[in-house]
Amino acid sequence: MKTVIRVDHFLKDYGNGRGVFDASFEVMQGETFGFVGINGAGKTTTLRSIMGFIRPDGGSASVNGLDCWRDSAKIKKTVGYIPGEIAFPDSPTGTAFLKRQADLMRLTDMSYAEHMISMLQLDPTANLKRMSKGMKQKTAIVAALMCDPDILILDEPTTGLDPLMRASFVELLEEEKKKGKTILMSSHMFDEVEDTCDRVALIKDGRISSIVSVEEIKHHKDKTYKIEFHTKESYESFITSKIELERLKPELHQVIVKVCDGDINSFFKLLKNYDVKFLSEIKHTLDNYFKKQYKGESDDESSII
Amino acid sequence: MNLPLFKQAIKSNWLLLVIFTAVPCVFLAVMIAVFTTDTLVAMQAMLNSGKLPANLTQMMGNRLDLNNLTLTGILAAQYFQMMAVIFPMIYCIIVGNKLIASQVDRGSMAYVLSAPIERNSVTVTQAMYLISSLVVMFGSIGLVGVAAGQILQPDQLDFRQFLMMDASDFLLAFAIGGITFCFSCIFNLSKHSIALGAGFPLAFFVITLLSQSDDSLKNLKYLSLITFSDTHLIIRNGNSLPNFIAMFAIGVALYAIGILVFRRKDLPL
Repeated sequence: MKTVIRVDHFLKDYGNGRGVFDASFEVMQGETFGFVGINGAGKTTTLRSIMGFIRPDGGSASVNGLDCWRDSAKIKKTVGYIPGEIAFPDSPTGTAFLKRQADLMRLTDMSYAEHMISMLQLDPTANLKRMSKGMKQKTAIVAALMCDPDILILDEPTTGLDPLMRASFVELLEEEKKKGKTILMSSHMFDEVEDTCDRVALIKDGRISSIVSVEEIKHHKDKTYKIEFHTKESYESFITSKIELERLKPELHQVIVKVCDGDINSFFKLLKNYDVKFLSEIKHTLDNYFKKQYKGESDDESSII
Repeated sequence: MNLPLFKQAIKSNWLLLVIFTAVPCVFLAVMIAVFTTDTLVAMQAMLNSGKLPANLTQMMGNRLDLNNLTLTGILAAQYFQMMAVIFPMIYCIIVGNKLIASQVDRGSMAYVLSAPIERNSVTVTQAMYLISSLVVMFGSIGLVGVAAGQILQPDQLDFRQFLMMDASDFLLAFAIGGITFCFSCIFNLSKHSIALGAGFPLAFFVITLLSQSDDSLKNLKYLSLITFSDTHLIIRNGNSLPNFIAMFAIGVALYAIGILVFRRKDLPL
């Protein structure tokens, strides 16, 4: 698979520990790549450097082999961008703004823009300054996508959208994905990237702490279960069996165990011998995976629930 | 130079240009209508009569040839040292900031630069807009002056000198536009761009006023860019070419610095 976006040991130091330090990652053709971190972690700085707005202090960023700083104008022929902050030029209405943007992009066919406008239920004839945050965000989404670019760089694209609109937006992204678009989006919401992205990078204090495949986390072959026993005797004899125990709660007679999918049958056979009150699976989500990462390795077991 | 961007600059700034062109044009026409030969003779008599305080006469005398008041002389001292300096100056301060820094500050420059347009092309286009709007402004002033002179006071206005003064103030505005544009390119925040982009030109204006108010402050004029637009020299038919070249060179240098800085800086978009 072809690498489309490559960030290689990117460094931007704003002093006082702020900035992005030695970030490296690659986004493949057709992949949707999520960039997650709390506010101020360095997501926007990294995306801006790919757009060529920021000159790296070290390392480089490139799109399709073109350097993001030196060849920024060339790169933008294939890139659509939604900035993190919504600030439109002074155009009277949404339509006027989209027209103006189409002129700059030298786009004449507005049919795709029309399609997105109806999908997002946007009324572009409204006064641009009086639009709600969500309306403005939708306008920005249309402006970025209307040229049908091959690469999308989206800085927290769902800010201000209500849950229904967020769903429409995810649907729109799915459509783009089917067309083979390469998408890089940042977010501070785990469930959002979980729903849309193939891979996710976690950025913390300007450093990328891990890059994971969403598929692997969601459908990990090691599953975690919580079991409660009716009696103390059952509980105590269970914990002496040869099962990988994650965590114990003696006062509730609960155990948390990790079981590989291949061992699931023998696990159930074993359970037959005990007086089980209930059994439930603890789902692996990006959320708790990254919470684990954020808290560090020392107390990761307690943070699983 | 990017044509769609240039059109957008016209679209968002034409009203300012119309206002800042109309006011000096009307003012010029009124001046040409008011300062008739009769009025000038009466003025000259009054100024030379000694009835006015000496200071006031001296102040006027620094800018006017009291023994030979002409329409062209009045325009040189009053119009082309005041109106045609301060109005374009304020225009440059507002528009210079609007063209670059304010768009970066607000973040709307992101939409311009998400299109496949080089940064240089953005700045060159915006500078071209500023310069060509000044051409329109001073072109209109020139046309109105010649027309008003022809209609209202035939043979009283020296067209050659008038147009030279118009050109001189255009070059001054070109250089001042360079100052505001340069700071607009350097700073990401409007407040900084305006502080310096307005600060320098207004300081020059105050310095020039001071230097003309009293002989002891005369040397202050060497601190002001406005001194290059020497209308006095023009009505004495002196050689203005060095002044013209200086203003042009200063302007070109400032626009170039702005464009170079903008190409290389980080943008918070």
